[in-house]
Amino acid sequence: MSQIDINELFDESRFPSGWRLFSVLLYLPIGLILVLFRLIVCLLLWLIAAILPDSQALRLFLNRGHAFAFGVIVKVSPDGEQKDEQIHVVIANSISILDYFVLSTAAKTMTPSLLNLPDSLSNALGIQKMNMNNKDVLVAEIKRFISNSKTSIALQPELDTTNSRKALLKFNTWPFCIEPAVQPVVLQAWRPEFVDIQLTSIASIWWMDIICFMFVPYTIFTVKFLKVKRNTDAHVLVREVEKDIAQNLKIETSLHTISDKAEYIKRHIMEEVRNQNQQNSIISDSQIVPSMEILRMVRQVSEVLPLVPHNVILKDLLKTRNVDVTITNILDGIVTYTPETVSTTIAPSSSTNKRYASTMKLNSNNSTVGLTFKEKKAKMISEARERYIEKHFLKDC
Amino acid sequence: MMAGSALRRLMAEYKQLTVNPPEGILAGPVNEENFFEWEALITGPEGTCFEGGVFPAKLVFPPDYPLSPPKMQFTCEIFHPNIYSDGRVCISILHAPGDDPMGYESSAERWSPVQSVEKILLSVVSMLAEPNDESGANVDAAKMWRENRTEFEKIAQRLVRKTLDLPV
Repeated sequence: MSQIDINELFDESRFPSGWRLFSVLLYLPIGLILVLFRLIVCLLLWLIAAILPDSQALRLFLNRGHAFAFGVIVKVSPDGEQKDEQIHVVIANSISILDYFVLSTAAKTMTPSLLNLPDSLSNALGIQKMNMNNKDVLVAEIKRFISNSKTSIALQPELDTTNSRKALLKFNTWPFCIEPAVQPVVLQAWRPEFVDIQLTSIASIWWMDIICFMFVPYTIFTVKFLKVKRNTDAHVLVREVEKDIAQNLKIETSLHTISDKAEYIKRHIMEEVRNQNQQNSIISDSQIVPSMEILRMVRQVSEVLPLVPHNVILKDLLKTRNVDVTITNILDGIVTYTPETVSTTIAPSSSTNKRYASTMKLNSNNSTVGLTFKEKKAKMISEARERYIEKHFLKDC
Repeated sequence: MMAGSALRRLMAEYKQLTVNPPEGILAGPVNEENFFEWEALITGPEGTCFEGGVFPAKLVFPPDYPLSPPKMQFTCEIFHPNIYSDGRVCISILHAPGDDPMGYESSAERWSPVQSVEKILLSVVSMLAEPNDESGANVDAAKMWRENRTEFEKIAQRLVRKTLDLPV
C-alpha cells in the first residue's frame, strides 16, 4: 500500500483535451438532441410508473426503458464467475452515479437508498428505500430485508466514486458485518472514443453526471463476478475483498476514505475561487495606503484569527470598515486565504501528538456524520467498550 | 465586540472539529445555546496504561477567548501526575505566557491565539501517554509514576474500566 496522492483518484475535468475535445464539440449538436429526446423518454417512463399498477412486466419494461434513456448497456464479463444465488450480499467498486442500476440489471440486486419512489420504479432502477440514519439501523434493516426476500443487496463500501485508474477508496467495514459470505463484483465502463467523457469528475453535480449519460450515444458497463469470499471476521473479509477487486481492476488499494475525498473537493473548490479572486484584484491591491485606524483594526482581527495573512484582513477591512464583519466574512469562508505558517517554534510535545494522531488515523471510521453530539458520545463510549471487551475478555474465552 | 468574536471563533473551531475530527477525540458545546462550555471525550492512547479508556472532560472558555486560554477539567476519576485530584488539567498549553510561577515552561509551549481546542486535546492525549513528572499537579501520582510503575498501571487500568462502565 504505497503512498498515493489523493488527486490521482479523481479527474479534475470530465472532458478530454486535444483532438478528443474537438470531436466532442463536433458531436455536440447530436448529443444535445439526444439529451432532449432521452429526457422526454424518462419523463414518460416516470408517468407510466405513476399511473400503471405494479407488475413484473411493468418492472421489466421500466428497467429496459431506463437503460435506453440513460444509454446504458450492461454486459456480464464471460471470464468471471457466475452469480451465486446463495449469496445475499454483493460488493462492488464505485464508478458512477448509475452503479446501482447496472448492478440491478446484471445481478438482480437492490441498493439501499433514501429515495422514496413507487415500487415498480424503484425496483426497475434497483434501489430499495431504507432507513440510513446510522449504520447499525441500516445493517439491521438489510438483514431483515435479506431474510424476507430472495433478492440480494448490492453495497459499495467505498461509498463514493473514483476514476478507477489508480486506486480504490478505503472500504468501509460495515457492509461486511451483514453476512459472513459476500460476492465481490468488478464494475468497469467504456464510452465511444469520439465522445471520451468521463463518468464523473471531482466536485461534479449528480444531474450533470446523468446528463452526460444521456449526451453520449451509449455507455457500456461490464460486470465481472468474482469468487465468493467467506470469513466470519468482517475486518479480515473487508481487506480480502478490497484486495481482490483492486487486483482485478489492476489498481491499488489506498487509505483515503470518503471524508478525505470530501476534504479534497472542498480544497479544490476553494482554490478555484481564490484563483478567480486573484485575477480580479491584482490591480486594486497596489494602490492601498492604509491609515493608522485600519492598521489597528487589522491587529484586532489578527488577534482573533492569527493564521490569516495581514494583507487578506486588510483587503477585506478596506471594504467593510468593521472588525466584526471582517471576522465573520473570514469565518464564513466569504474571504478565502492560505493560512500563514506558524512561526513560533513548535512545542516538543507536538511530535508525539503527531505520532498518536497518525497511528490513530489508521482505524478511522467516518460513520458518525449526521449524529447529534450526544449520540456521537454514546457511540464512542460503546465502541471503546466493545473494543476493550474484545481485547481483554474474549481472548480468554 | 470581544464576546462576539470569541463566539464566532468557537463556532468555527467546533465546525472544524465536526468536519474533520481527530481520531479518538470528540469535543463540542454541552448545548448549542452556550458555546463557552464544552465537553470533550478523549480516548486513552494506544500502547499506554490509559489505552482503551474514554475520559470525559469539561472545557470552559473565557469571554476573551482566544486571547486567554480555556480551563480544562476531567469529570471522571483520574490519577495522573499532571492532573489535580479534582480533575483540573495542568499542562503548559493551557497557561498564558507570564503566568508560570515555577518557570518550567518555555513560552513556545504556552497558550496563544494560534493554539486551538484541537491542539489542547492532542496535547492532553500526549500528556496521558507521557506524564511530565516535573510539574506535579498530583504529587502522589507523580511519585508512584516514578517509583512504582506497576502499581500506577494497575490504578490506570481500573480507571479505564470505570470510564467504560465495566466491572473493575
